[in-house]
Amino acid sequence: MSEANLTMSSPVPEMREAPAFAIPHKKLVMWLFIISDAITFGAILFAYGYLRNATTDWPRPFESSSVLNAYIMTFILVTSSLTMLIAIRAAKSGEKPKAIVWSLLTVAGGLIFALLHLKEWLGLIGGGLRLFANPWGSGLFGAAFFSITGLHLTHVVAGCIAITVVTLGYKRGRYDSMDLEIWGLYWHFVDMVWMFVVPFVYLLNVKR
Amino acid sequence: MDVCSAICVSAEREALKHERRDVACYVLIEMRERGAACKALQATSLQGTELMDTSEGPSGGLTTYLVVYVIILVISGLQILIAYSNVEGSRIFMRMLALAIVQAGLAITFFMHMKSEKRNLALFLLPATVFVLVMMNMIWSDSFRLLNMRPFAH
Repeated sequence: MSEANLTMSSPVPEMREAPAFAIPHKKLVMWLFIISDAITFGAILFAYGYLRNATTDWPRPFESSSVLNAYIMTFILVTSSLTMLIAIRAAKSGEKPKAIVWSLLTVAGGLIFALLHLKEWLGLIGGGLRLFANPWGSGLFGAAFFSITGLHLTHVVAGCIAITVVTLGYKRGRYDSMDLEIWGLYWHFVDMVWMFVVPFVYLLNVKR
Repeated sequence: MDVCSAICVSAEREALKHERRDVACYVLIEMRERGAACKALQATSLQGTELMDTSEGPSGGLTTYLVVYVIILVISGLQILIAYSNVEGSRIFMRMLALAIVQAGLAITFFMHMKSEKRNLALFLLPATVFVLVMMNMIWSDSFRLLNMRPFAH
């Protein structure tokens, strides 16, 4: 019997390399996704900054009602981050029903955010905003606005779907508290992106 | 007997099966190394568990979350005040950016638990991200060229 065969036929289970960052691999993968997504949002915000800076007739269409709506949306999204944290905390301490309720409240927060976002969009579309035209100034405004807020809205809706699926799986025992925590990371990231979207897209363009 | 000790014992048994002394030694050394690696892996896993427990454990953290939550909302309110202030141009942008970075820092540190993860994770993820975002600032010179030279103006 060769030495190689001796090693292969060993009764000892195959040893794995120790995790580099003392976190599960699934969590590391989510972190890697988050940094790549952060750079995607960074790029789209830089593109918007480029256009806004180089355009002399950049529109400032946001009335105080839009700013109030944006603040309410911020409040709902940050609150949903808090409810997600409470859900994860409950899951870690084995309080399954509580974790499920708080996770679903997070999803409800996301859905209310999406509805308010659509209301904002419809108001602007009703005012004449189109993808490449608007009555206030540079036609590029619509493209920039819908790209940034649309990408963010897509993330919110995707997060609502993912958290619902994971919560239902957690209820059935398919997923555990770590899975909830990993999707919590995603949800906080979506919240964090909104903290850049509001000042740059809404507040720098308020009507005076 | 724990798993790692069992590996060491099975290593000795494996080694004893072989008549050739060099092969027996090879097997023994390899299996003992596996036993040591097993212990290292268990230690790392325990350390990771402890870290995660401190971040998400039931014994605390909710007050911190609430404080951070309130601070983030207050900063959002401050941004609105700045938007309606008399500050103009790049100053308003820099103030908005600074406050947004503070909000993001709080979210990453406390909501995403970066504070209680191993420092290696932050050193692995954050500098590369910041580097890429900083390098994107190269676009501004071209943006100002468009603004000042206005190549498409008639």
